[in-house]
Amino acid sequence: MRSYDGPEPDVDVDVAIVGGGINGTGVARDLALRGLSVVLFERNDLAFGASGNNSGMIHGGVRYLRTNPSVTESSCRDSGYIQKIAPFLLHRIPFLLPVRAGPKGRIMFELIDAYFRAYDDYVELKRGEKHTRLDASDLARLEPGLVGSYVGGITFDEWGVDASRLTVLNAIDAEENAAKLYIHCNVDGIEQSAAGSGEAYVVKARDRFTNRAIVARAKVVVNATGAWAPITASLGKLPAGSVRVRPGKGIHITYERRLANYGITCDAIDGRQIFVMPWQNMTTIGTTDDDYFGDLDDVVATSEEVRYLIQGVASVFPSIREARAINTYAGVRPTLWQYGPLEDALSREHEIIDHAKDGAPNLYSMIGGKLASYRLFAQEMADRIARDLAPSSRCATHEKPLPGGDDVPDAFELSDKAGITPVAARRLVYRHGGRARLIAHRMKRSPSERDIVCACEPVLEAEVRHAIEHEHARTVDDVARRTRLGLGACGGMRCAARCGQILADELDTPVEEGLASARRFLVRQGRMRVPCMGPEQARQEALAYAVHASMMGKGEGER
Amino acid sequence: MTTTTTRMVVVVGSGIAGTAAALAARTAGADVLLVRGAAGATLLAPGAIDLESWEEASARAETSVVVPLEPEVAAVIDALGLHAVKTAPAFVATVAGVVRAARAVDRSLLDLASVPGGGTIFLPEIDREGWDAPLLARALRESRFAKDRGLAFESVPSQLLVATSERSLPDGDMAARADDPARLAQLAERLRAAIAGKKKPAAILLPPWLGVDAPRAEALSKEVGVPCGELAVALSSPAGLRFARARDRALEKAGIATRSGWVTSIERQDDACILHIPDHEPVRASAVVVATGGVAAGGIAYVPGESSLATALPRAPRAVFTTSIKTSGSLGFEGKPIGIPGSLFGMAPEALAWPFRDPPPLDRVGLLVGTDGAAAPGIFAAGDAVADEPRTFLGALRSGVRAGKSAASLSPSV
Repeated sequence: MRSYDGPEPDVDVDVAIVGGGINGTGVARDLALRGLSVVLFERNDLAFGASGNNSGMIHGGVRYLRTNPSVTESSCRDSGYIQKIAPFLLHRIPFLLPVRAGPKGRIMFELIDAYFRAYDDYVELKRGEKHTRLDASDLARLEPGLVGSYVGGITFDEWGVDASRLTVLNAIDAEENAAKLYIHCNVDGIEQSAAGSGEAYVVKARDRFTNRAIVARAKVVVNATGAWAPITASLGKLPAGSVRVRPGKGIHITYERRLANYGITCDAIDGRQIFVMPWQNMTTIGTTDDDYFGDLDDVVATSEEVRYLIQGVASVFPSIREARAINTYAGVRPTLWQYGPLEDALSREHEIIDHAKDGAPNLYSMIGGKLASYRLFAQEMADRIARDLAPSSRCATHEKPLPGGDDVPDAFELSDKAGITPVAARRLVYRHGGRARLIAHRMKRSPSERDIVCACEPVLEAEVRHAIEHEHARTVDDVARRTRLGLGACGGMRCAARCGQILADELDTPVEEGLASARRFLVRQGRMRVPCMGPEQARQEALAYAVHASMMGKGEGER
Repeated sequence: MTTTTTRMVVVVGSGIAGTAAALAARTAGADVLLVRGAAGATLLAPGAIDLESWEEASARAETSVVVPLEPEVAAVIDALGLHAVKTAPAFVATVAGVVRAARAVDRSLLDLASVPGGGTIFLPEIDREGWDAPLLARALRESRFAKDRGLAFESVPSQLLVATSERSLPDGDMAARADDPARLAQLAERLRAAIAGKKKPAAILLPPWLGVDAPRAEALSKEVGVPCGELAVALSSPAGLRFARARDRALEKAGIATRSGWVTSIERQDDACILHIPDHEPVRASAVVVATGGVAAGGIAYVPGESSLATALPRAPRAVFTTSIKTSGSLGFEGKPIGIPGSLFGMAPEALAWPFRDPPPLDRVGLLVGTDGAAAPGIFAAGDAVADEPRTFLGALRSGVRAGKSAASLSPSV
């Protein structure tokens, strides 16, 4: 049991990073490994934004092959690096790209086949499989759920990843190399110091729960806040337009089991390519791409977007309509700004803005980018900073394993040793790799921590406590982001209150705060689940409402 | 089974609403047949019963004024014999670590209101999932109720399980074991051992283990020498199983026939109602009470336009809720019928569910009824199947009594 005071409230560092997404944590790790002192501020939670709400795949840059093959090559190479440093986090998702029969069907098939044959040259970099070519009967045999007439299709594979875990592990590695993390701490000022004071900037922040003020004096500031980047830039009193982002909202729908053997690409009603794919122990369909003008701290999928996606997928995979959607998630892409093109046509490149041109030297903004090339983007930023602050250092992020990346245990062995079910062990190994042993050790010390808190996933009490003690989880939402607690079919009906009690226990706060956190989680999850509600899930929602009302209530002062 | 008896009331649904309707119709002199389906809200309920919702009741509990039960409602409660109704509100601890008020509780639940102020309540430590005595004790200790009454909650080491298989046995099975006097005596012995050498507690709070055939808390308390009772748990609670047993006994005692079956439709023919049950002869009744529950129980289904279609568009717009039984009567909420939406795809779910709407139409939707509980000529509704009524045990009970009386008072079929 320890109080969450967080690190010291007054620090002098080399680099202050604002933003706890994959870019911010990636840069923090890179710089920390080079021996620089780093603080990182995140106003919500690690991976709260796009980093925690994307498709969950490391793309190999297939679509750039025609226009920009060097991007494809670096994407594949970086995917290979991510695989190397966190092998336990990636899982293979084979995709089918069916080609419709029709007047141009045969020629399209040849062209696509040729395209992927060219892509084959790169797949080895990401330890992928070469593509294969299927005729129509192969397609039907491999994926009986497909309807329509096809000349055939091709297969290719992507790496699936839990991007929230990837982000958290980057942050933990940075912290283990002396970086200080301030989560749930909102930066409210970035000021240039008086001349000659050594540190160029004073970054002021406030812990949103304890209200404690934090001050960091830094030589360099990195704005890695994604879609929030223009907001962060305004805190540094930068001129309007110095950082421009065109936020693009994307949603996904989650189903409670694997529905297809493969990922399948298909066309939505407006011709956009969408997909349905197996992802870990669920199925995901996605995604949309719409300009977003709303509150970035509160992005929620709508039933409109849900209907659009389901209609598109049902056109080739009709059994989706009978399947039980259990949740949605939504994020906003921090796309590079351009006035004119459709959302889909915008560049997915990344860019580093040096604000010296705005009168703020040593202040940088990181804009755009894709999950797959985060490490590369982080390296570019770190190289730039290290030129002055650590000139003889070199990047190690492509070689050094992320926490848990070395010596990944066998799930069955772990299951025997720890006395837990193989499924629970497998999930632990997936999320924590070698560090699953630490969690198993907790269970040996306190056998009651073997208890299942969330039965849908499953998530054990030891993992919940580990997330709070070692991974900066301070709310039930945070625990859910790290462990997937409460994100299954029951929507947290059985586990949210218990998680709240455990939080209060670990953080030594009043139990009522833990319960309030659980209630907020249930409200937030309710808003995410309802837009995809179908007939079966409506029963679950009615049940959950009744359970919530009879067991937990709305809480004092929350009506 | 075809019958042409006079004044035959058929009740569809065997939760509290259906049970109350059956008992009330019988009391009024009708012959009654109750058709049982599957588990609904009553069987999943934790055993704490209210007339108005807990939160409204909580606000009132501060003044310690409770509304006495109406005689017809009290009669059903008596017939069941499950609940201890007092003149003050009851308070129970829930598995979420919260103390909530109730009008009355199942006799196996621990009523914290009966614990003298300043007393200590023990929670035995048991190696079972879902029961974390130290965490629960802490949560309860910090509740406003405990602070107001000076109650202390403490977890104490204990050896209550007799075999390692009991680590993972469902709560219902553990509760059934307590029906065996020998096992109950064993539990009592182990509880006495757990509290030996300590200052005698004011009460012992236990997991939901205290009987399925009947509540066993009183018997256990006698043997232990300390009041014992259950934590309130939703979903897996044996309180629902105890209700089922008590219901069956009460129905049998009242001479009410029961059968299992899924009624698919009810039609009017002359002055009678005909109920259709697959693979059975149609059943003829003077009047029917529909007590098949709401969305959670499956009595009402949510059917957005596109749900059953693969790729084609829905042919026509339709109402997004339907009763599981095809019958006359209209579904609605907030006093108005649902109506056909202006979309092929139905209503947006954001208009129907919590937390977008509070209280959510999903919970309130049901058959619109008159003051006598009639949804259509000869067809009455009770419980969660009725629109807008309080979704509480006593609310359902009261609507059941109303529907049962009205159904029984219809003139006999020719």
